[in-house]
Amino acid sequence: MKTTKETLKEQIIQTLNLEDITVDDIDDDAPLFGEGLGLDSIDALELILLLERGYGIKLSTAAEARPIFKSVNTMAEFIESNAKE
Amino acid sequence: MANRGVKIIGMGAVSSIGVGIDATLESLRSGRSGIGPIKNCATTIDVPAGEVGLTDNEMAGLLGLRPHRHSRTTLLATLAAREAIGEAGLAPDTLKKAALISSTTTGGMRETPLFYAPYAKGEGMGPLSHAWRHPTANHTDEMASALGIGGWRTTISTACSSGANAILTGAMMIESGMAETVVAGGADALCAFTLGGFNSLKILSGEACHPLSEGRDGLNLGEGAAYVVMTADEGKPSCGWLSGWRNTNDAYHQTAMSDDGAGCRASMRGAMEKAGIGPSGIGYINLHGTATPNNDQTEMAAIEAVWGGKIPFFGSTKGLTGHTLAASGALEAVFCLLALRERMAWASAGLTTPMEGHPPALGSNGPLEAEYALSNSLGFGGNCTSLIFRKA
Repeated sequence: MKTTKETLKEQIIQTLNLEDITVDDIDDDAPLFGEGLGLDSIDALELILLLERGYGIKLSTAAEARPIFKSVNTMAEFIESNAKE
Repeated sequence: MANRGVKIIGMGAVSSIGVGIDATLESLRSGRSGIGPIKNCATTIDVPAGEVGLTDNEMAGLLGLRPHRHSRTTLLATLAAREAIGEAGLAPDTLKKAALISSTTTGGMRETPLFYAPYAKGEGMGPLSHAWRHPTANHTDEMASALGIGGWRTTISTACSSGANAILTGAMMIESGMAETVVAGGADALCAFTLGGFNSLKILSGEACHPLSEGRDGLNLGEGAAYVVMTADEGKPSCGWLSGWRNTNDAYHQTAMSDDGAGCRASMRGAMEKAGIGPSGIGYINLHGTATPNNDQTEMAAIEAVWGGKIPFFGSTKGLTGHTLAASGALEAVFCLLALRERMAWASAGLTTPMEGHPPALGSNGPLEAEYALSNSLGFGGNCTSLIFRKA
């Protein structure tokens, strides 16, 4: 069975069309934005949608997303404690 | 009194006749056309077009950009502008302050259906990035970021005169002291939406087009990008000068030009006035010359009114590249600069029987002796721009 982190990495790659990246390239702790994976503001919107569609989690403000989208670790932690499946 | 104008120190071009200036020049010399069956653009309209022979991923690879992160228009633009900046030898510090004036008609429109199409299957919206990249200004922002151009920037979209108007705007900024260095030009990717639009207007030809010929039956669309670098600095005008420019409006019809070409006549006369020369100073006219019955008739009426019986070498290069919309004015600016540098006027590609009642366009490349060349760009909405280039 895949861990939340593995599934999440696959979803990030698929949602953001990161053809040049594999699951193994994404460190659990590396920053998703700026340095690290180098995502931008439009990617952040896609990730908010991913939480909504994939996990039934609705974020009420963009500011709320900032600490959650720090890394795969922080995202997975948030999903595990908030997912409505 | 002749006015030397604004100095051009770099140029770059990407179209169906070549990626880069060297390949472009080779095609101009040999008259090799880039028009053929559509291979890479998703469309149901079966007409030939001038496609650039590189996929999006190939262009991203050449530019060191990540795949699937930019529209095709952005990739074409960045490839051509990078060549222009490289030739101008701009240092990173200069680039940080340089202005960027880019033009497009399609922007990210080629990819926009990828956002909407899933709705039809009940799947909701597609990737947001395709909606995000739709607006015309997006390509300007993304190419500025990819190339490190950090100064003032804007996006121009005046239909088929866009590329010429971007260059004209850049020249005005240099002349007025608003910018020291300007990168200006235009880009457009071949796109299902524009193919559909031009098809609805019934101005697409089913075969390779025949500008300035009797019996011509419409244009071919193309794609591409071209940019020039202009500077207020001392030093050599390695590519030439932009000596005259004028933008006018025909004020006649949304998608047709007036029979007497009043707008085009005024833009050509205005550009000569700005350059401080008369009609006899021009050695080559690169027409807008789309190969629609209306455009070529109008443009010839305007040219005959300005030059009378003594018209210099003239022709259209749309038979090589197709009509590249916003890129065309910039691409043909490069063709004029190359004509002046190589001392050669380019043949009117696709010419068959010359238009009845008019002097014939140039049948094969001819020796260019004059110092100046003029390029016309005539857009929907009656938008007319003429640019006059002077040899380096």
